[in-house]
Amino acid sequence: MKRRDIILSLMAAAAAVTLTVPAGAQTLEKFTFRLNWTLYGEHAPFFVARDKGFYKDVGLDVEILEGSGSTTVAQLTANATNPVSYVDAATMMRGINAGMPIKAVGVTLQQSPMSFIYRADNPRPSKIDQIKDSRIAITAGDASLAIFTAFMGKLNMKVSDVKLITVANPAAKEQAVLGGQADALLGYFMDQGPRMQLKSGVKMGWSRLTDMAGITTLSSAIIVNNDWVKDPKNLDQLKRFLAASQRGWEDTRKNVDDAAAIFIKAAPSFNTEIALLEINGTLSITNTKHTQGKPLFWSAKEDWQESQDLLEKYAGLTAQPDLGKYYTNEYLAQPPYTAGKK
Amino acid sequence: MALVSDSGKPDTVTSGATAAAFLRRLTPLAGVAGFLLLWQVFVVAWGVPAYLLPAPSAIGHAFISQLPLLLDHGWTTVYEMLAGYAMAVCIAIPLAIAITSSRRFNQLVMPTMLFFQIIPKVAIAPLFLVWFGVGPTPKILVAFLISFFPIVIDAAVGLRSMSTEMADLARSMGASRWQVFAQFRLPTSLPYLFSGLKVAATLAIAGTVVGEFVGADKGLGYLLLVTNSNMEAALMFATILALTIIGLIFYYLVEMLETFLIPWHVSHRVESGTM
Repeated sequence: MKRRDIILSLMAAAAAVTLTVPAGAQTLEKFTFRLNWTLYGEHAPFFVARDKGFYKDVGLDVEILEGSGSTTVAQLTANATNPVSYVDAATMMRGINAGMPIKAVGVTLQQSPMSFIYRADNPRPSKIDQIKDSRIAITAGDASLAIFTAFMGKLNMKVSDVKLITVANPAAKEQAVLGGQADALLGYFMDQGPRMQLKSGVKMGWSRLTDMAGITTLSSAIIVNNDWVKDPKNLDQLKRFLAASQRGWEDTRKNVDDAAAIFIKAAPSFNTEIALLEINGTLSITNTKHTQGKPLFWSAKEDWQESQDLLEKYAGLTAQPDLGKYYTNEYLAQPPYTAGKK
Repeated sequence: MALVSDSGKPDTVTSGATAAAFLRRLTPLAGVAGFLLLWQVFVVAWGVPAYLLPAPSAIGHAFISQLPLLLDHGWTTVYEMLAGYAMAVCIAIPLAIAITSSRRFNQLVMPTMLFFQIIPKVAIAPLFLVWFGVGPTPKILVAFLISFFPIVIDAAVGLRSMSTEMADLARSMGASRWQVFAQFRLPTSLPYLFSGLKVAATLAIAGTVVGEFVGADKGLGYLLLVTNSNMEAALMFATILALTIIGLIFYYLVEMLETFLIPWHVSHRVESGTM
């Protein structure tokens, strides 16, 4: 009798435990996402998706890692160290040209934010005739060389016409300009410009390459390793990640103040004013005329063709006969992007 | 009394010996050639993409077609390296003499020197960038710091290596303090000094490149970073080849100087089985 009682009470306890487990408490799948650079406002929507639970809703525990330049990060994706990452599309195209097995699955920024960023008391180069012999700082491995080569080519100049200064890391690039060792750096108008002003108190200025020479390419994109994505389990994770990220970007556009607050929690060195400036700057370049009204991250063949033409003409890119080698839209979710919610 | 004459077979012996010596000299080259061939076959047969590992043929082509560029940047790196190395030699040798002459000076200076040696140069190079900019100065300083310690230590060991018997001999011949130093202690120290100089020669090029990695607008280290950013793997490998050649030439120059200055030393004794 006693043994039967013990077994019955154990069974009752087990039943009680299983019945009281909350419905959504299955284990989340770990997912790593490598960013292109150290944290700045453009990354806020991914943090919105994380902090507002959009990734959790699709069963993913997303770890967002900083990067140190699109070329470097593209190489990490190419060798599958970080099979999903966030890099500049023009840099990715050059990587594919060199044989990297990567592809864009969504383009967040579809116009180029690349700019010369300089101290306001030494605004060089803000005009085309100031470009020659300027000292321009870049971080080896950042996104600038792809579009800068095309930019100089369009102006009938070569990259060697400026004094290119390579420095070891993102912070050193900014220090070089603040300390006067370089005239300007190549960066994004909604990244280094506002941030350097905030951190150093020095007034900064910038000139967008697209304003100076009409040069723009597709910019930031979520890229994947082609072999990694062949595994159906990975593909499923990717689709859920994309849907939740699209939701995060949509939510950011509707609730910019929330996004700024969430971003500052992740990057405490920012303040609300700068975070808002950067997020709004980011949101202004998410689409081209070919992608108005399309789902978020959806990229147009015409824009890829334009980017390829530019890089082929001025930056020595070998044209791919099939643009599908660069991108695919097939893994993206349709609005309202909650389709993957469990 | 005539020794046994080997005039019976003079020419074949000498020509055979020369041929054998020539073939022996070729062996390292054969090793390198075999390695390169294997590399080329591997890249072509497995279709390895260029950005991962370029074929030796592509590297060779990049090296030859971009020779002016490599020479231009190479000259900058060589200049920075030589300046840093020369500074190290000029400061290290007198310092070694001072350390071995005075115990108090040794105790005073040694801890500080050790401290600067232990600090990883990669860690202080960014500071140099902030203090001295992106010109040649920070690279020369890093090359100096990295070459300095081996020379000081080996020179000091060398200067202390004169045996007491030799010191007694010198004094018994009526040598002055200066003569003991210049004609006994210093020559005895030369083999050790050259050991330090050779080690420092291989380190100097590495230090210069580290300095260039941190911030540069010229030089082979700079070129390495730019070619990596532009995904020009063949030219990147060609740059590495150029750096290796520079390092090897510099090392062998120091070794030649050693042979010239201390031909009597055991390290230069030629193995000969006939005596």
